[in-house]
Amino acid sequence: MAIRNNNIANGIKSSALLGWRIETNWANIFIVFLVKCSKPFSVALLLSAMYMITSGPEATIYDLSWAIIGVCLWGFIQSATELYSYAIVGEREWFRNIKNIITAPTPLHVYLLGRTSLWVPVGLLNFIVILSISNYSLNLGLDINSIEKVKMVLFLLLGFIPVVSLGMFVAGISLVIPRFSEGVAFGVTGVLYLISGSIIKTNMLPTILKNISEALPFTHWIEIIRYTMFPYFRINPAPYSEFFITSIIFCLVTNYLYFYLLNYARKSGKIDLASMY
Amino acid sequence: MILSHAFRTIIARAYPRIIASFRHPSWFLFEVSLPLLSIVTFVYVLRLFDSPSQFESYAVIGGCMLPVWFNVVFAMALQLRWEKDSGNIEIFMTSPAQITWILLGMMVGGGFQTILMSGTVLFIATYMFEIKFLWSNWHQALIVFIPCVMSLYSIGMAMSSVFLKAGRAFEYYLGLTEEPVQFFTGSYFPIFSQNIVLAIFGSLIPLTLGIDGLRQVLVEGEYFTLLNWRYEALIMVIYWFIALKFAKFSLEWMEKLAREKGTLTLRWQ
Repeated sequence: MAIRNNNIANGIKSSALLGWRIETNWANIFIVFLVKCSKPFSVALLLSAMYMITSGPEATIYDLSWAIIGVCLWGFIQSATELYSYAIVGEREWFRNIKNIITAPTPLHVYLLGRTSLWVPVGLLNFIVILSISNYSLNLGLDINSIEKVKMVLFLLLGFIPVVSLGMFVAGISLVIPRFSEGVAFGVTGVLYLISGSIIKTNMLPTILKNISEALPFTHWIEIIRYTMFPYFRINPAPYSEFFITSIIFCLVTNYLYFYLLNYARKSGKIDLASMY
Repeated sequence: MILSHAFRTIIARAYPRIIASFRHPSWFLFEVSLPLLSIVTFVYVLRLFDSPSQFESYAVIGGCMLPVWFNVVFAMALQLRWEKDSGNIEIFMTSPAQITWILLGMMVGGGFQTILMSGTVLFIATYMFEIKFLWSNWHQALIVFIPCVMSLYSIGMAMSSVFLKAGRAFEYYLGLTEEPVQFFTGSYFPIFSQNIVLAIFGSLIPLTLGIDGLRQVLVEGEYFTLLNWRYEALIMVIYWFIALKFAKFSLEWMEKLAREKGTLTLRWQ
């Protein structure tokens, strides 16, 4: 089927609008953002409390700010992963609409890109709120003048590419696991929480997990953002090349898997297999 | 006759939950691995903060109690709403079984399911991090654990009518029952050492008291807290009775209101 460019642009626009309306339906906008931001914000509070109560003599405030930056960026990964998974579950199980989306001229991946776009404002709000409050209340030493702003914004945006690819991968898995797909997002984020270098330093992990962690672009993405924001994380050079290499490989593999799983779901008849109620 | 009806209803609703615990091994694996991943993550965070090893024991106890809370929220409080959406609620209402018995059955089955899961998580986490608990205090631990689970499920019963009545908008608030509850209940850190006011606020959920009590009796070493585990167990028993009373009242009120307004079987609202 020939798809003109403006189909894609219109597809993204209308699916973004639709996604926004679905996600903000039945509740006011304040409640939506409050609930969506509550998760990473609570984790930041949890980490701060753990640091204050449990930290030993070797712990420093740098360890806490290291983990807080990880949580700030984790908000993007978590909200994207959940939205991609829920988009598939919602369209297939609740609205029974996935057949119409597949047969529409806009490809499914374009639809998903727009339908789940709420993760960007949610993630940005998380990032700004958690960082500002943490810096003010915990005295993390973040100085606006010492931030490498251009690099930070550039790499923040570049990091969105593997985040979207991860979302596509999660959507692909959700397509082939009809009865179980709601839990896919929780499973993926649970594993990545441990190994993506967001709140745990990779050198603390067992060797095999450390190697997996260093093969993920998120580990290097979060490390680069830490580097650009806090001067005390600039002791070692930022892992730019590692980020680019792992991102390219990750995006290729995950997008290939998404298309493979989409085809498999269509061939095996799982694409519209509503299995919940 | 009424008692026999009640028992049959309770068994009928508990049965699918007990069977479901073993029916799909992948489900069980999933239910166990998620809380386990969370525990592993927070134990590594404690190591990042160079915390003394007893805090790892506290985190393991807190992490093991969380599946109980999630089961209460997602398989108890939300259940009547799901039954309404799947068209079962009218069958429940027209059958001679009382809705309280149905929920009691869910409580028994769900309790079995989560105790099995929590136990498995505890076993794996204990082995993984080589944690030594004071298992000689098992009977004291049971005195804390049983009222904690029962009071949580009674709260779940009470919440089920609220979810049924409040409609779809209330589902947004479910997000607040995950990570925010982990913070307010002090699942991964001793909350009474952090801030007494915050801890008292967190104790509105009996999970906070249950976790705190279990830490007192199972973990070796000095532990700062506000209340002795005996008082915490007593408070949880009081919670249990109040929540059961409230559940009965709210279920009857909800049913009356929903019948009058005709919203009892109105799906997708």
